[in-house]
Amino acid sequence: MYEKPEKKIILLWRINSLLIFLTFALFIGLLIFLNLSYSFSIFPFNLSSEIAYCVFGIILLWRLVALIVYPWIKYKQWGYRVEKDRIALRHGIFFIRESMIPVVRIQSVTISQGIPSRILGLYHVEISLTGANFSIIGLSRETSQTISDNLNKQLQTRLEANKKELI
Amino acid sequence: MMKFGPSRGNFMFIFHKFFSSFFILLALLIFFTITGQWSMLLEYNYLIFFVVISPISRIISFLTTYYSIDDQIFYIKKAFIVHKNTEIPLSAITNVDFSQGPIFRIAKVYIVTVDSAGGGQIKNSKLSLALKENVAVEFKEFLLHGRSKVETPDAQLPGSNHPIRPGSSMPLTAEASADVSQYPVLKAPLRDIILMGLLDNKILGMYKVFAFVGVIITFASRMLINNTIDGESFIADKIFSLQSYTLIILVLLILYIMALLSGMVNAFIKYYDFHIINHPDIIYIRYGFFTRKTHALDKKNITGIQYSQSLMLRALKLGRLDIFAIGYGRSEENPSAMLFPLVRRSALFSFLNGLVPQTFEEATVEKAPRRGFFLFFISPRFVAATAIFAISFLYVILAPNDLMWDSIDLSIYGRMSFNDFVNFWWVACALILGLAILSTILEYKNTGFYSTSRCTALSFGGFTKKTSYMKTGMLQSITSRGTITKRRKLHLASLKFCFWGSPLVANQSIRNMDLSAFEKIKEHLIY
Repeated sequence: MYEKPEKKIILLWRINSLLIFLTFALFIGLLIFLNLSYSFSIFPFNLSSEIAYCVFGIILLWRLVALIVYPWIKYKQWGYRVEKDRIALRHGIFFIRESMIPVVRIQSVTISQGIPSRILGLYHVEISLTGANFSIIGLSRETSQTISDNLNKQLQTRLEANKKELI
Repeated sequence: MMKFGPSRGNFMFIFHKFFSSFFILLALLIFFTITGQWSMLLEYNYLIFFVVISPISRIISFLTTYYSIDDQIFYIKKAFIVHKNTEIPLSAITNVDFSQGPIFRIAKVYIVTVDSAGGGQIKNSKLSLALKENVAVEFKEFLLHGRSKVETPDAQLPGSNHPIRPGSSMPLTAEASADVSQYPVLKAPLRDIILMGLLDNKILGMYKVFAFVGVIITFASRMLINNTIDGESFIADKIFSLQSYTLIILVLLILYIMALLSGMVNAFIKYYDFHIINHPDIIYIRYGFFTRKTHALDKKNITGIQYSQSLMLRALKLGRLDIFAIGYGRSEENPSAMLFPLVRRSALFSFLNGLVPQTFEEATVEKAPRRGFFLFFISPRFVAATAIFAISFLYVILAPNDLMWDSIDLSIYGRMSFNDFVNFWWVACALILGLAILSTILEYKNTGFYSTSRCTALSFGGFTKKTSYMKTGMLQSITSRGTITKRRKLHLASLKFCFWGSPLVANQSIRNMDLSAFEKIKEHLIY
């Protein structure tokens, strides 16, 4: 059974999607403005304006769908499970990724917060292995601290045991 | 209680790698300013942007990052835009290195690089900060406090001027410092080295020969006739201006033979006198004609080996053996070391057991299921080849009189007529699509894996089949990836394995395996 992140994460994803949508809209607006300013088509391969505008419309529609629908799908499929000796993660929109991480392989644990996360009171726990990084996102302060403390404690125990073996 | 910090370190960090990162940009800016070419300066205004913005971002990074150490943990706190608190246990720190450029030497400041396992390219595993000399020494002491170290002299290979340290920071055992010539030596026959060069992938070789000859022509034209000719275009023009396909094929054959010869010569120069010294704890790999290279790989740090077979090598039941080890593979030049040029498939495990006993074993290979065959065609190379073929088909069949054809300057193809051009284009597109189909079918046939408590083997690749035999104990994490339809209806997923080793080879994937494989491998992970 997977645990879910805080529901506020949907709002965070929507904010990120909105920023991407606005960036695309701005860029497309600039292209259209430049195209209208010149008497020739500025688009590559001498693409006609009608085709270019259709492509822009498809892109903006896709980003709009991403803004409205994707965060909800992503939340439905996002889950994590922290056990004594392993962490299981499950996430994705169209491509679902399931990861299994033994706690003994963790090299370091980071708690991070971007600006929108800070406003929403969300924390992310980043787990670093020697060859990969994983994140448990959208946690409350207490949950992130508990997970981080538990992982660090287990990490310490493992490293102490390794040190005793060497000696 | 904190033994060190919280501290930002020394402000000289702002100038770390400054000249190597920005030297060319600064030189260009100075050049434009001195020559008064202000218009060019404005044309390259993004250069000004990079020169100005990067020091500002370094200053901000310096001002907002704090380091501290207590008895057990090294803390890194970053607080600008994204707040990050990282805790690295001191026991996880493998290396603390000092470096000092000329300006830092004047300021009596060290750049301290802290490495915590892995290959240094994973987030948080490699950090740099600047500290005054006396503070840096104390800082290193605090970080390495409590780590048990066995100080031993470095090994010295006979005939070598430099001590040889294994690729990682693991100390050598005392025996390694003794004369290694008493240990078994495995020497690669010269014919195997030349054969390996002969049978390696030739498409790249042909392009290299083509590019090399092109560069020669460009330089020769500049020096001899005072007129720069683009060598590659010159050769392409000459090929296309040939009157018959037979001649074109003959030219390509000559190019192929030249690629074969250059492959053989390259292999001879690079791997001349290739031999392995099999010490009980360390594998020494030595080779090279002009540049003698020696790799010392601690056997405990070996993550796995990879057996590569091009089509020709597979036909001859031979393959090249590469080795992966922790700490080896910090750069693009050295992602892995070649363990042996050519090993017979049937002798592979007896060869490996001679070097690293009880490590790698054979088991029944689980192949990619038949129901996933068509999924292998959902790949960039097949989609691109099909797109090129489809677009050509649409234009030639449906729009033969399209004005686009008038705009193609056929004179660049010499005496080729429009019909010849179309035929040539068809042949080229059909060939590309054919190769893409063949490569995909081969990929399906080559994909497979098995996992035991000791060894996990992954097999993948199209024209060049690669089989990675990795120590199961070095498996860090596994991830399965697939759409909901693929998982639920077909019970298939692609599997990604993360091994303990250099980042360039640590992540290995196989496509479209049964979901039960994911469950089987989970059982073998060490928890």
